Amino acid sequence: MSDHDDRPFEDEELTDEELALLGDVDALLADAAMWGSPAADVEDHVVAAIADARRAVTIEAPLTPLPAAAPAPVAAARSATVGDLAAQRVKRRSRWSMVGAAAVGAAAAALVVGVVMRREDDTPTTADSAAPSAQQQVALAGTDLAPGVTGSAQLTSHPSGVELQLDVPGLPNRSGGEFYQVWVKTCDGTLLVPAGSFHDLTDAIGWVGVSMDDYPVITVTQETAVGGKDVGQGSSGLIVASGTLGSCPS
Amino acid sequence: MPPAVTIDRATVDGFRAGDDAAVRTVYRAYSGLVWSVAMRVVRDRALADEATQQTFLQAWRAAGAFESGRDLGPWLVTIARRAAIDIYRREQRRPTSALDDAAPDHPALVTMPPSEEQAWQVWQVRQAIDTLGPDEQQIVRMQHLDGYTHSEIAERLGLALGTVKSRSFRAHKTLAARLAHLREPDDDDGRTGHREERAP
Repeated sequence: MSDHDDRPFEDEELTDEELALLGDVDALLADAAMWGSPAADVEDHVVAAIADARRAVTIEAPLTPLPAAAPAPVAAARSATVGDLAAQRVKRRSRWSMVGAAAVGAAAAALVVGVVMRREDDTPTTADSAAPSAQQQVALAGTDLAPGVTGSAQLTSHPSGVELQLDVPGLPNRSGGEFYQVWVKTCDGTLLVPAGSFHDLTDAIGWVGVSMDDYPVITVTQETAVGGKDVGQGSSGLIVASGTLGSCPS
Repeated sequence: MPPAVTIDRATVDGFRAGDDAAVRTVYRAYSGLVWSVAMRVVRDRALADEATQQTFLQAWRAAGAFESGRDLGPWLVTIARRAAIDIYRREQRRPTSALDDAAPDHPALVTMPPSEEQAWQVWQVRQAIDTLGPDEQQIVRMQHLDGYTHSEIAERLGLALGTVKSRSFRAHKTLAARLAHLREPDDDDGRTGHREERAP
Protein backbone atom coordinates (compact mmCIF):
# COMPACT_ATOMS: atom_id res chain seq x y z
CA MET A 1 0.00 0.00 0.00
CA SER A 2 1.58 3.28 -1.06
CA ASP A 3 1.14 6.63 0.63
CA HIS A 4 -0.57 7.86 -2.48
CA ASP A 5 -3.25 5.22 -2.16
CA ASP A 6 -4.12 6.39 1.30
CA ARG A 7 -4.29 10.08 0.72
CA PRO A 8 -7.70 11.42 1.56
CA PHE A 9 -8.08 13.28 -1.69
CA GLU A 10 -6.80 12.74 -5.19
CA ASP A 11 -4.54 15.73 -4.86
CA GLU A 12 -3.05 15.17 -8.27
CA GLU A 13 -6.34 16.11 -9.84
CA LEU A 14 -8.14 18.31 -7.33
CA THR A 15 -7.00 21.87 -7.50
CA ASP A 16 -5.29 23.59 -4.62
CA GLU A 17 -8.38 25.67 -4.11
CA GLU A 18 -10.58 22.60 -3.96
CA LEU A 19 -8.21 20.93 -1.52
CA ALA A 20 -8.17 24.02 0.68
CA LEU A 21 -11.95 24.18 0.64
CA LEU A 22 -12.30 20.53 1.51
CA GLY A 23 -9.73 21.04 4.23
CA ASP A 24 -11.92 23.76 5.67
CA VAL A 25 -14.85 21.39 6.00
CA ASP A 26 -12.86 18.28 6.84
CA ALA A 27 -13.92 18.42 10.50
CA LEU A 28 -17.56 18.54 9.47
CA LEU A 29 -17.18 15.63 7.06
CA ALA A 30 -15.74 13.64 9.96
CA ASP A 31 -18.66 14.51 12.25
CA ALA A 32 -21.39 11.93 12.76
CA ALA A 33 -23.89 14.80 12.85
CA MET A 34 -23.44 15.16 9.11
CA TRP A 35 -24.32 11.58 8.35
CA GLY A 36 -27.35 10.85 10.48
CA SER A 37 -31.06 11.44 10.15
CA PRO A 38 -33.95 11.69 12.57
CA ALA A 39 -35.60 8.49 13.73
CA ALA A 40 -38.24 7.15 11.37
CA ASP A 41 -41.17 8.04 13.60
CA VAL A 42 -40.30 11.72 13.91
CA GLU A 43 -42.08 12.53 10.66
CA ASP A 44 -45.36 11.13 11.96
CA HIS A 45 -44.89 13.00 15.23
CA VAL A 46 -44.37 16.26 13.35
CA VAL A 47 -47.48 15.73 11.23
CA ALA A 48 -49.55 14.78 14.28
CA ALA A 49 -48.30 17.67 16.38
CA ILE A 50 -49.02 20.20 13.64
CA ALA A 51 -52.45 18.68 13.10
CA ASP A 52 -53.15 18.93 16.82
CA ALA A 53 -51.92 22.50 16.93
CA ARG A 54 -53.97 23.39 13.89
CA ARG A 55 -57.10 22.05 15.51
CA ALA A 56 -56.33 24.03 18.64
CA VAL A 57 -56.38 27.29 16.79
CA THR A 58 -59.55 29.16 16.03
CA ILE A 59 -59.90 32.11 13.76
CA GLU A 60 -62.59 34.05 15.52
CA ALA A 61 -60.44 36.37 17.58
CA PRO A 62 -56.81 36.62 16.62
CA LEU A 63 -54.70 38.67 19.01
CA THR A 64 -52.26 39.66 16.31
CA PRO A 65 -53.53 39.66 12.75
CA LEU A 66 -51.20 37.78 10.45
CA PRO A 67 -49.97 39.45 7.27
CA ALA A 68 -52.63 39.53 4.60
CA ALA A 69 -50.32 37.87 2.10
CA ALA A 70 -49.65 35.04 4.46
CA PRO A 71 -52.73 33.16 5.50
CA ALA A 72 -52.87 31.90 9.04
CA PRO A 73 -52.28 28.18 9.39
CA VAL A 74 -55.91 27.51 10.08
CA ALA A 75 -57.29 29.93 7.56
CA ALA A 76 -56.90 27.44 4.78
CA ALA A 77 -59.48 24.99 5.91
CA ARG A 78 -59.33 21.55 4.47
CA SER A 79 -61.75 18.72 4.39
CA ALA A 80 -61.07 16.21 7.06
CA THR A 81 -62.91 13.28 8.43
CA VAL A 82 -62.86 12.09 11.95
CA GLY A 83 -60.86 9.13 10.70
CA ASP A 84 -58.24 11.42 9.17
CA LEU A 85 -57.83 13.34 12.34
CA ALA A 86 -57.83 10.33 14.60
CA ALA A 87 -55.17 8.66 12.52
CA GLN A 88 -52.87 11.60 13.06
CA ARG A 89 -53.20 11.50 16.78
CA VAL A 90 -50.20 10.44 18.74
CA LYS A 91 -51.15 7.15 20.36
CA ARG A 92 -48.87 7.05 23.32
CA ARG A 93 -47.89 9.50 25.98
CA SER A 94 -44.26 10.34 25.56
CA ARG A 95 -41.93 13.21 25.26
CA TRP A 96 -43.27 13.70 21.77
CA SER A 97 -46.81 14.12 22.93
CA MET A 98 -45.64 16.64 25.47
CA VAL A 99 -43.80 18.55 22.78
CA GLY A 100 -46.92 18.53 20.67
CA ALA A 101 -49.02 19.65 23.58
CA ALA A 102 -46.66 22.51 24.24
CA ALA A 103 -47.01 23.50 20.62
CA VAL A 104 -50.76 23.42 20.93
CA GLY A 105 -50.65 25.80 23.82
CA ALA A 106 -48.17 28.14 22.22
CA ALA A 107 -49.89 28.24 18.87
CA ALA A 108 -53.24 28.89 20.40
CA ALA A 109 -51.84 31.44 22.81
CA ALA A 110 -50.64 33.45 19.88
CA LEU A 111 -53.91 33.44 18.08
CA VAL A 112 -56.79 33.04 20.45
CA VAL A 113 -58.24 35.46 22.94
CA GLY A 114 -61.00 33.54 24.59
CA VAL A 115 -63.47 31.08 23.33
CA VAL A 116 -65.82 28.73 24.95
CA MET A 117 -64.24 25.57 26.24
CA ARG A 118 -65.10 22.73 23.96
CA ARG A 119 -66.66 19.71 25.49
CA GLU A 120 -64.76 16.49 25.03
CA ASP A 121 -67.63 14.56 23.55
CA ASP A 122 -68.07 16.84 20.57
CA THR A 123 -67.23 15.16 17.31
CA PRO A 124 -65.69 17.25 14.56
CA THR A 125 -66.70 16.51 11.00
CA THR A 126 -64.97 19.21 8.99
CA ALA A 127 -61.80 21.17 9.36
CA ASP A 128 -63.62 24.28 10.47
CA SER A 129 -65.64 22.48 13.04
CA ALA A 130 -62.76 20.16 13.88
CA ALA A 131 -61.23 22.47 16.43
CA PRO A 132 -61.65 20.25 19.47
CA SER A 133 -59.41 22.37 21.62
CA ALA A 134 -60.28 25.80 22.86
CA GLN A 135 -58.65 27.89 25.45
CA GLN A 136 -59.47 29.82 28.49
CA GLN A 137 -57.24 31.77 30.75
CA VAL A 138 -57.36 31.85 34.52
CA ALA A 139 -55.59 34.56 36.47
CA LEU A 140 -53.67 33.28 39.48
CA ALA A 141 -52.88 35.37 42.51
CA GLY A 142 -50.53 34.70 45.38
CA THR A 143 -51.91 34.09 48.84
CA ASP A 144 -50.45 35.34 52.11
CA LEU A 145 -47.73 32.74 51.61
CA ALA A 146 -46.69 34.43 48.38
CA PRO A 147 -47.94 37.99 48.55
CA GLY A 148 -47.83 40.02 45.37
CA VAL A 149 -47.29 37.04 43.15
CA THR A 150 -49.39 36.94 40.00
CA GLY A 151 -49.58 34.51 37.14
CA SER A 152 -51.87 32.70 34.82
CA ALA A 153 -53.03 29.28 33.76
CA GLN A 154 -54.00 28.78 30.17
CA LEU A 155 -56.37 25.88 29.74
CA THR A 156 -56.58 23.86 26.57
CA SER A 157 -59.02 21.04 26.18
CA HIS A 158 -57.72 17.98 24.33
CA PRO A 159 -59.33 14.63 23.68
CA SER A 160 -56.95 13.18 26.24
CA GLY A 161 -57.60 15.76 28.96
CA VAL A 162 -57.17 19.38 29.87
CA GLU A 163 -53.76 20.94 29.53
CA LEU A 164 -52.81 23.66 32.01
CA GLN A 165 -50.05 25.89 30.80
CA LEU A 166 -48.93 27.64 33.95
CA ASP A 167 -46.86 30.74 34.25
CA VAL A 168 -46.35 32.04 37.76
CA PRO A 169 -42.91 33.58 37.51
CA GLY A 170 -42.85 35.12 40.97
CA LEU A 171 -42.67 31.84 42.81
CA PRO A 172 -39.14 30.82 43.69
CA ASN A 173 -37.70 27.57 42.43
CA ARG A 174 -38.12 24.70 44.86
CA SER A 175 -35.84 21.69 45.04
CA GLY A 176 -34.25 19.30 47.50
CA GLY A 177 -37.48 17.48 48.19
CA GLU A 178 -39.63 20.57 48.11
CA PHE A 179 -41.90 21.22 45.19
CA TYR A 180 -45.10 22.81 44.03
CA GLN A 181 -48.24 20.82 43.43
CA VAL A 182 -51.00 22.10 41.19
CA TRP A 183 -54.56 21.01 41.82
CA VAL A 184 -57.99 21.58 40.35
CA LYS A 185 -60.89 21.58 42.78
CA THR A 186 -64.63 21.76 42.87
CA CYS A 187 -66.10 25.03 44.01
CA ASP A 188 -66.91 23.62 47.43
CA GLY A 189 -63.38 22.26 47.76
CA THR A 190 -64.52 18.76 48.54
CA LEU A 191 -63.02 17.14 45.45
CA LEU A 192 -59.41 17.60 44.49
CA VAL A 193 -57.54 16.37 41.42
CA PRO A 194 -53.75 16.74 41.01
CA ALA A 195 -52.39 18.37 37.87
CA GLY A 196 -48.69 17.74 38.46
CA SER A 197 -45.73 18.66 40.61
CA PHE A 198 -43.06 21.14 39.64
CA HIS A 199 -39.78 22.74 40.62
CA ASP A 200 -40.97 26.04 39.31
CA LEU A 201 -44.01 27.33 37.53
CA THR A 202 -42.50 29.35 34.76
CA ASP A 203 -43.87 27.92 31.55
CA ALA A 204 -44.91 24.68 33.26
CA ILE A 205 -47.43 22.29 31.79
CA GLY A 206 -49.83 20.19 33.82
CA TRP A 207 -52.68 17.92 32.85
CA VAL A 208 -55.93 16.83 34.41
CA GLY A 209 -58.45 14.27 33.30
CA VAL A 210 -61.53 16.06 34.56
CA SER A 211 -63.66 18.83 33.14
CA MET A 212 -62.77 22.31 34.25
CA ASP A 213 -66.46 23.07 34.27
CA ASP A 214 -66.73 20.76 37.26
CA TYR A 215 -63.35 21.60 38.80
CA PRO A 216 -62.97 25.32 38.14
CA VAL A 217 -60.68 26.21 41.05
CA ILE A 218 -56.95 26.01 40.47
CA THR A 219 -54.61 26.02 43.44
CA VAL A 220 -50.87 25.77 43.83
CA THR A 221 -49.58 24.32 47.06
CA GLN A 222 -46.09 24.01 48.37
CA GLU A 223 -45.22 20.49 49.33
CA THR A 224 -42.39 18.60 50.91
CA ALA A 225 -41.58 15.02 50.02
CA VAL A 226 -41.74 13.22 53.33
CA GLY A 227 -41.22 9.54 52.77
CA GLY A 228 -43.81 7.40 54.46
CA LYS A 229 -45.61 10.29 56.11
CA ASP A 230 -47.87 11.22 53.26
CA VAL A 231 -48.91 7.93 51.77
CA GLY A 232 -52.10 9.46 50.52
CA GLN A 233 -50.19 12.14 48.62
CA GLY A 234 -52.69 14.69 49.77
CA SER A 235 -52.40 18.42 49.68
CA SER A 236 -50.32 20.11 52.35
CA GLY A 237 -52.95 22.81 52.47
CA LEU A 238 -50.23 25.42 52.08
CA ILE A 239 -51.77 27.26 49.14
CA VAL A 240 -49.40 29.78 47.60
CA ALA A 241 -51.51 30.82 44.62
CA SER A 242 -54.99 30.22 43.32
CA GLY A 243 -57.50 31.27 40.74
CA THR A 244 -60.94 30.32 39.47
CA LEU A 245 -62.29 29.69 36.03
CA GLY A 246 -65.35 31.87 35.91
CA SER A 247 -66.81 32.21 39.36
CA CYS A 248 -68.01 29.98 42.15
CA PRO A 249 -71.26 30.58 43.99
CA SER A 250 -70.61 32.40 47.19
CA MET B 1 -25.46 28.63 -6.18
CA PRO B 2 -29.15 27.69 -6.16
CA PRO B 3 -30.34 25.73 -3.16
CA ALA B 4 -30.03 21.97 -3.56
CA VAL B 5 -33.46 21.58 -2.03
CA THR B 6 -36.29 23.32 -3.79
CA ILE B 7 -39.86 23.42 -2.60
CA ASP B 8 -42.48 24.90 -4.86
CA ARG B 9 -44.69 27.73 -3.72
CA ALA B 10 -47.81 25.60 -3.55
CA THR B 11 -46.09 23.23 -1.14
CA VAL B 12 -44.92 26.11 1.03
CA ASP B 13 -48.49 27.41 1.07
CA GLY B 14 -49.70 23.93 1.96
CA PHE B 15 -47.18 23.72 4.77
CA ARG B 16 -48.36 27.06 6.07
CA ALA B 17 -51.92 25.75 6.06
CA GLY B 18 -50.83 22.62 7.91
CA ASP B 19 -51.73 20.32 5.05
CA ASP B 20 -50.43 16.86 5.94
CA ALA B 21 -49.00 16.08 2.52
CA ALA B 22 -47.22 19.42 2.31
CA VAL B 23 -45.86 19.04 5.84
CA ARG B 24 -44.46 15.64 4.88
CA THR B 25 -42.94 17.01 1.68
CA VAL B 26 -41.20 19.83 3.52
CA TYR B 27 -40.14 17.49 6.31
CA ARG B 28 -38.62 14.97 3.89
CA ALA B 29 -36.79 17.68 2.02
CA TYR B 30 -35.28 19.33 5.07
CA SER B 31 -35.32 16.95 8.02
CA GLY B 32 -31.80 15.63 7.46
CA LEU B 33 -30.45 19.14 7.21
CA VAL B 34 -32.33 20.26 10.30
CA TRP B 35 -31.19 17.21 12.21
CA SER B 36 -27.53 17.83 11.37
CA VAL B 37 -27.72 21.38 12.67
CA ALA B 38 -29.49 20.21 15.81
CA MET B 39 -27.09 17.34 16.37
CA ARG B 40 -24.11 19.70 16.18
CA VAL B 41 -25.65 21.57 19.10
CA VAL B 42 -27.07 18.88 21.36
CA ARG B 43 -24.77 15.93 20.55
CA ASP B 44 -27.45 13.40 21.36
CA ARG B 45 -29.58 11.56 18.84
CA ALA B 46 -32.80 11.62 20.86
CA LEU B 47 -32.42 15.31 21.65
CA ALA B 48 -31.63 16.03 18.01
CA ASP B 49 -34.83 14.21 17.08
CA GLU B 50 -36.74 16.34 19.56
CA ALA B 51 -35.14 19.51 18.22
CA THR B 52 -36.05 18.44 14.70
CA GLN B 53 -39.69 18.09 15.69
CA GLN B 54 -39.63 21.42 17.49
CA THR B 55 -38.09 23.07 14.45
CA PHE B 56 -40.90 22.01 12.14
CA LEU B 57 -43.55 22.92 14.69
CA GLN B 58 -42.05 26.34 15.23
CA ALA B 59 -41.64 26.79 11.50
CA TRP B 60 -45.31 26.01 11.00
CA ARG B 61 -46.33 28.40 13.75
CA ALA B 62 -44.24 31.17 12.23
CA ALA B 63 -45.08 30.30 8.63
CA GLY B 64 -47.42 33.25 8.34
CA ALA B 65 -44.42 35.54 8.43
CA PHE B 66 -42.48 33.57 5.85
CA GLU B 67 -42.18 35.20 2.48
CA SER B 68 -43.46 32.96 -0.27
CA GLY B 69 -41.01 32.19 -3.01
CA ARG B 70 -37.91 32.33 -0.86
CA ASP B 71 -35.71 29.39 0.04
CA LEU B 72 -36.87 27.81 3.27
CA GLY B 73 -33.30 26.79 4.11
CA PRO B 74 -31.88 29.91 5.79
CA TRP B 75 -35.10 30.31 7.74
CA LEU B 76 -35.15 26.71 8.91
CA VAL B 77 -31.51 26.66 9.90
CA THR B 78 -32.10 29.62 12.18
CA ILE B 79 -35.10 27.96 13.79
CA ALA B 80 -33.27 24.64 14.09
CA ARG B 81 -30.28 26.19 15.80
CA ARG B 82 -32.45 28.07 18.29
CA ALA B 83 -34.63 25.05 19.01
CA ALA B 84 -31.55 22.93 19.62
CA ILE B 85 -29.97 25.55 21.87
CA ASP B 86 -33.17 25.73 23.91
CA ILE B 87 -33.09 21.98 24.40
CA TYR B 88 -29.38 22.04 25.10
CA ARG B 89 -29.92 24.64 27.84
CA ARG B 90 -32.84 22.72 29.26
CA GLU B 91 -30.70 19.60 29.53
CA GLN B 92 -27.93 21.58 31.15
CA ARG B 93 -30.33 22.64 33.88
CA ARG B 94 -31.06 19.07 34.91
CA PRO B 95 -27.84 17.09 35.18
CA THR B 96 -28.49 13.40 35.49
CA SER B 97 -25.00 12.08 36.01
CA ALA B 98 -21.75 13.03 37.59
CA LEU B 99 -19.42 15.05 35.42
CA ASP B 100 -16.80 12.32 35.61
CA ASP B 101 -19.22 9.93 33.95
CA ALA B 102 -19.95 12.22 31.01
CA ALA B 103 -18.70 11.26 27.58
CA PRO B 104 -16.06 13.55 26.09
CA ASP B 105 -18.54 15.01 23.63
CA HIS B 106 -21.35 15.46 26.15
CA PRO B 107 -23.05 18.84 25.77
CA ALA B 108 -22.12 19.72 29.33
CA LEU B 109 -18.46 19.59 28.34
CA VAL B 110 -18.83 21.55 25.16
CA THR B 111 -18.33 25.22 25.80
CA MET B 112 -20.42 26.97 23.20
CA PRO B 113 -23.05 25.95 20.68
CA PRO B 114 -22.21 26.72 17.07
CA SER B 115 -22.71 30.28 15.93
CA GLU B 116 -25.33 31.06 13.35
CA GLU B 117 -22.62 31.15 10.72
CA GLN B 118 -21.28 27.79 11.79
CA ALA B 119 -24.78 26.35 11.76
CA TRP B 120 -25.20 27.67 8.25
CA GLN B 121 -21.95 25.97 7.24
CA VAL B 122 -23.21 22.70 8.73
CA TRP B 123 -26.34 23.09 6.65
CA GLN B 124 -24.35 23.73 3.49
CA VAL B 125 -22.03 20.78 3.99
CA ARG B 126 -24.90 18.45 4.79
CA GLN B 127 -26.71 19.69 1.72
CA ALA B 128 -23.64 19.02 -0.41
CA ILE B 129 -23.32 15.51 1.02
CA ASP B 130 -26.95 14.85 0.20
CA THR B 131 -26.34 15.65 -3.45
CA LEU B 132 -23.87 12.76 -3.74
CA GLY B 133 -25.01 9.43 -5.06
CA PRO B 134 -25.26 6.56 -2.57
CA ASP B 135 -21.99 4.96 -3.71
CA GLU B 136 -20.11 8.21 -3.42
CA GLN B 137 -21.67 9.02 -0.08
CA GLN B 138 -20.62 5.65 1.25
CA ILE B 139 -17.01 6.14 0.28
CA VAL B 140 -16.80 9.70 1.57
CA ARG B 141 -18.38 8.61 4.82
CA MET B 142 -15.99 5.70 5.26
CA GLN B 143 -13.08 7.94 4.41
CA HIS B 144 -13.89 10.87 6.68
CA LEU B 145 -16.16 9.57 9.42
CA ASP B 146 -14.72 6.10 9.82
CA GLY B 147 -11.17 7.02 8.90
CA TYR B 148 -10.55 4.24 6.41
CA THR B 149 -7.95 4.51 3.69
CA HIS B 150 -8.79 3.94 0.05
CA SER B 151 -7.22 0.51 0.29
CA GLU B 152 -9.25 -0.39 3.37
CA ILE B 153 -12.43 0.84 1.76
CA ALA B 154 -11.71 -1.21 -1.36
CA GLU B 155 -11.14 -4.27 0.77
CA ARG B 156 -14.26 -3.80 2.86
CA LEU B 157 -16.51 -3.09 -0.09
CA GLY B 158 -14.93 -5.69 -2.34
CA LEU B 159 -14.15 -3.08 -4.95
CA ALA B 160 -11.05 -2.46 -7.02
CA LEU B 161 -8.82 0.20 -5.53
CA GLY B 162 -9.10 2.19 -8.74
CA THR B 163 -12.89 2.21 -8.46
CA VAL B 164 -12.73 3.52 -4.92
CA LYS B 165 -10.27 6.22 -5.87
CA SER B 166 -12.31 7.19 -8.88
CA ARG B 167 -15.53 7.47 -6.86
CA SER B 168 -13.72 9.32 -4.12
CA PHE B 169 -12.32 11.77 -6.62
CA ARG B 170 -15.68 12.40 -8.23
CA ALA B 171 -17.36 12.79 -4.85
CA HIS B 172 -14.82 15.28 -3.57
CA LYS B 173 -14.91 17.18 -6.84
CA THR B 174 -18.68 17.46 -6.45
CA LEU B 175 -18.40 18.52 -2.83
CA ALA B 176 -15.85 21.17 -3.72
CA ALA B 177 -18.11 22.51 -6.45
CA ARG B 178 -21.15 22.53 -4.18
CA LEU B 179 -19.26 24.28 -1.40
CA ALA B 180 -17.23 26.74 -3.47
CA HIS B 181 -19.51 29.56 -2.38
CA LEU B 182 -18.32 29.11 1.19
CA ARG B 183 -15.07 30.75 0.09
CA GLU B 184 -16.84 33.62 -1.57
CA PRO B 185 -17.26 36.78 0.49
CA ASP B 186 -21.04 36.80 0.57
CA ASP B 187 -23.78 34.81 -0.99
CA ASP B 188 -27.16 35.98 -2.12
CA ASP B 189 -28.52 35.84 1.41
CA GLY B 190 -25.84 38.16 2.65
CA ARG B 191 -24.13 35.46 4.66
CA THR B 192 -20.39 35.35 4.69
CA GLY B 193 -19.30 32.07 3.22
CA HIS B 194 -15.77 31.79 4.52
CA ARG B 195 -14.55 32.80 7.91
CA GLU B 196 -11.05 34.15 8.10
CA GLU B 197 -10.62 33.00 11.65
CA ARG B 198 -11.51 29.44 12.43
CA ALA B 199 -12.22 28.08 15.84
CA PRO B 200 -9.40 25.87 17.10
